[in-house]
Amino acid sequence: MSLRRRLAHRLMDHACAVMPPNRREWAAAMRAEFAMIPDGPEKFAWACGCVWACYQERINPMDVFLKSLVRAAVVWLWPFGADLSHALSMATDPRAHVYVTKFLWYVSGDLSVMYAGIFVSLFVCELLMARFWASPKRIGPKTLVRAAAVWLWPLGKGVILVSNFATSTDPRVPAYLATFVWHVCRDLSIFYAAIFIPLLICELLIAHLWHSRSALPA
Amino acid sequence: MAPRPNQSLQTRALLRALLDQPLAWRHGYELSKATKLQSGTLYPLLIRLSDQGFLESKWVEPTQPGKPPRHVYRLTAAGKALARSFDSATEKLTVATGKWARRPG
Repeated sequence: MSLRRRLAHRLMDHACAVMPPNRREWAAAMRAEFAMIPDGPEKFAWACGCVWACYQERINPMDVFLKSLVRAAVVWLWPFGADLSHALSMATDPRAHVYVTKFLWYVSGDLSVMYAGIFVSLFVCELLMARFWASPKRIGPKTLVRAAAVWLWPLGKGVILVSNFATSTDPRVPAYLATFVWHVCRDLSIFYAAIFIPLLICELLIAHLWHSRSALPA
Repeated sequence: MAPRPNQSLQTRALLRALLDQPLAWRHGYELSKATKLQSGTLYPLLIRLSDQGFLESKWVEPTQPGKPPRHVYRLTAAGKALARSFDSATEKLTVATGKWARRPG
């Protein structure tokens, strides 16, 4: 059996597994047609299409996209606020216009990257939750998972900093390292809480105000 | 304004293909060939039209041994009416476009 044929069969199995129970008849219909298609690129394309169709039945991608966008915007407000207050504090300096121009350039770049990072993390997290954790009204635990997904960004940065520090040849490293790890943990915990609280408020608002136009049974 | 349902080109193509042989039961692969729609587009449309009562379906025994039963589809009376309404709308549009094109300069 060729690799493509094997992959096509795996994809078809996956499509049938993803389909919600009340739509299993349609998954069987897709599989029956799949069995009739001769081996080749067409069979593989059919299987890919079936996966997409079953995902559409399982989740609403546009709904996931829009909700992730709102959540990312909420989380993004926090660093944006911090940078804005920094920019305002610099505005009193006589050379403010030079600093502020440079600062805004850096801030806009960094924030855009951060926003994209938050959005991508949340979007992937949403898709996984829609696939594996479809139970509605689990706002608290789901918010915890979302906050953890976004928290991985500063956590990764913290880990890189700590590991760079640990590989230093300075003889006072062990003493510094303990203090440093403590500070990283403390800062990250504050960051985590700062993500969690706005997200929780956002979740409660989404749960009360957001009515999906074409929600399909999961 | 909320978009009107079943207005997409893909839905119209599917309805037209089904209306070409209104009494025949057609299977998914055949419809995919007739409409040039991929399975990822075709099946969500079939599911939606079936939910809305425009399509009826049944399982038929395979003609080849060792193959699974196949799911086949055809339009209901409401589905035929919907497909014909699109056809007449397209016809009116074609006539109007033709008249406009023939207008003296």
